[in-house]
This record gives sequence, structure tokens and C-alpha cells, in this order.
Amino acid sequence: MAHVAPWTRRESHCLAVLYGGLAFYEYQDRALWPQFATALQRQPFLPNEQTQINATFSAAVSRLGLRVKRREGSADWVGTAIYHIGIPLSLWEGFLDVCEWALWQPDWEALDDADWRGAMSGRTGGLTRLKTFLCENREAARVKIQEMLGARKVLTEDESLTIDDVKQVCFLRSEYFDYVPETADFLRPANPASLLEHSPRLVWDEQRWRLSLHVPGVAALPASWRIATVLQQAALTPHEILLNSAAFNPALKVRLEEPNGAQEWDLPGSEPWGLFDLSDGRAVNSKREQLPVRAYDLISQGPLASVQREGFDEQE
Amino acid sequence: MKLRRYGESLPERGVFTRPFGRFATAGELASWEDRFQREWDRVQLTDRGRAGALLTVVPNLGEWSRFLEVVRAAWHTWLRGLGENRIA
Repeated sequence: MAHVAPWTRRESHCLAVLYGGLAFYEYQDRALWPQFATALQRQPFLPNEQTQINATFSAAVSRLGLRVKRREGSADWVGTAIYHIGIPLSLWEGFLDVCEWALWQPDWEALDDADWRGAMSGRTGGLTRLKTFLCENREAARVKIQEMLGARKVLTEDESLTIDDVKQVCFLRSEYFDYVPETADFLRPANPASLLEHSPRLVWDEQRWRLSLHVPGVAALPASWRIATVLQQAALTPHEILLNSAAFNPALKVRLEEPNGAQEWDLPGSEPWGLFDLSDGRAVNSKREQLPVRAYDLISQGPLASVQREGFDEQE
Repeated sequence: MKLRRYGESLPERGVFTRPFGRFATAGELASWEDRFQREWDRVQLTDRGRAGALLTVVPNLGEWSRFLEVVRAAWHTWLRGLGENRIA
């Protein structure tokens, strides 16, 4: 039986969420310890510290009734943290591609491990990190793919439904939409913007050369929107808040202050640059490795040292 | 008084990991614990073994940063506690 420091016993949920949050926000390359040390702004953990912390984590998750994953006879702590949160944010975009593949493969769940590995290799291309994740965490991936296909079916069949309406089918974090706007494309291909209009989003107006925040209407007034130094009264109907230079931050903290409380969103900003899809002006995930063939504007506050394009235009 | 470098070994206290910063109060961490516990209690018992069960409890990005600040400030005490309390 684990004997854990009293402080630790009191904070079991904090420790489980710490591991889960690191897995969700920071997961890279099958490792969590470097991100763990960076997040805590300290030196890399020593092996004996890792062992102690993992043992405490094990006791904490047992107390919460969460599973500990095992691999080859020993506990797999990174796999466990990822299993607890589903798909890390850094892998979400590639995961959407796999969901797209599953749409057209009715027997995707029945593939044996070798065929699954082959399919994932083909689907993920050079994204080794994602392929490894999908093969090593097949169960977590399977459950989430099922949920995503279910959510897409419901949202496509009834365009009046919102993300809130499918919460029982599939829990979708707002970060998936904020950092990977293609999430809406997958869930409602015919009208992705309809899924985004219930939360604030950064939009580039190509005609008037301005960056604005499109915000939804609020139910209770008086209320106000605050973004950095910009403060604007909220309205009952959707409207836009002019940001321009205020958009050039690595992240935009958006706060809605209402009579009965406040809500906050953290959106990716346009520093050092932002990429916008000209079909609807919305911001595109700037970390994407490949983009659909569309027209884009690259917006920066100053000259960029090196801008290169590869692909369709150059091969013509 | 001698200034210590980040990461420098201190014979009397182990490794000096926080050259500056603030200390978390017990109340701050307890407040996060209460919140996470409340949210976790809302997850159905039958769902707790499922992949992604904890995701509803992970705070949004802004709150995550604030949570990390509190953890950061409390971490040194916590780690020392681990060393003093053997875990089997």
C-alpha cells in the first residue's frame, strides 16, 4: 500500500490534473518530463525524483478511480496521462485526418494490430509522433474517433445544433477549435462557421485591411468584452471589436464580464505572424504543416526575415 | 550574503530550484483541489475508466497558467515532502 505525504494525499486531484494538463497542452515526442520541468521552471528531474513523483501520481489516480496503463510489465506513465485526457492538442490536427480516413473505412475498428499500424503509417505520412501515438494508444484513439464520427453525423444532420448540443456524444474542448480551426471543417463541412459563432474569434478583413474580434451576442446586459487594453460594451447580437495592432500578441486573452460572472478565452494571436483564410477571413492554425489549396493572407506587424512557399504554385 | 545560482547545490538544503518567485499559500492549492474534486465528482463513476475522462477537469489555457503558477510556488515544499515520506 502506498504511503504518501499528507500534503500529497490532500492534493490528489491537483496532481492528476497536473499530469493530464501537461499531456493535453504540452505533449511532444512520447515524453513529458522535459515539459514537466519547463512548466515548473526548474532543472530536469533526476531519475529518483521521477520515480517518487510517478509513485505519488499512481496513488493519486488510484484514489480518483482512474486507470494506470501498463506496457511490457511495467507502468506506462506518459501513456497513462494521455489516456486520461484523450488526444493531446499537439496531435489534434493529424488526428482529424485519421477521423476523415475512418469515415470512408467502415471496418476501421476491426483491423488487426498489424493492419492498423499499416493504415496509420499510410495516413499519418511523415508525422512519426502521431503514428506512434495512434499505435501505442489505440484504445484511446478508437474511442475518440467513434465520438468524432458520431458528433459529425449529428451536427451534419441538424444544422441548428451547436457544440453544446453534442456534449453527451463527444466532449470537444474550445482549444481544439481555437488552435485547430479545421475541427469545425470536419464536424460540419458544409457550414463550419456556424459552429464557431458562439465564441470569439479573430478575423482578417481583406477589403478594409483590419483585424477584428468577432464576438457572439450575450443574453444578459450590461456586459463588457475586454481584450488586453481594449474594452467594449457587449450587445445582444453578434458584432465585431476592432483590434488591429492589439492582435499582434502571441496569445489574446478575451474576457466577457457579465452581471452574474465572467468567462475567459485564450485565443492564438498574430505574433510573430498570423495566417488567414480569405474565404471567410478566419485565422488558420499557423502550426499546420500542410494547408488545403485555398487563398491565404499572411499578416505581420513587421517585415519577416524568410518567407518560403513549397507546393502547387512552384511545381506548375 | 552569497547569491545562489539557479540549480546550484546547497549542502544544507538540496538543490536550490527557485532563485526568486512567490510561495503558494496552502489555501491556493487547496482551492484548486476543491475545484478539481468538485468537477471530478460530476464525472459519472461508469465513465471514469474511459479514455479522456479527465479532460473535462483540465482547466482552460488561461486558468492552466494560473494553476501552474501555484504548483510552481508549492513544488519545492512538495518535493522535499516526497523525500521525507517513503513511498512504497
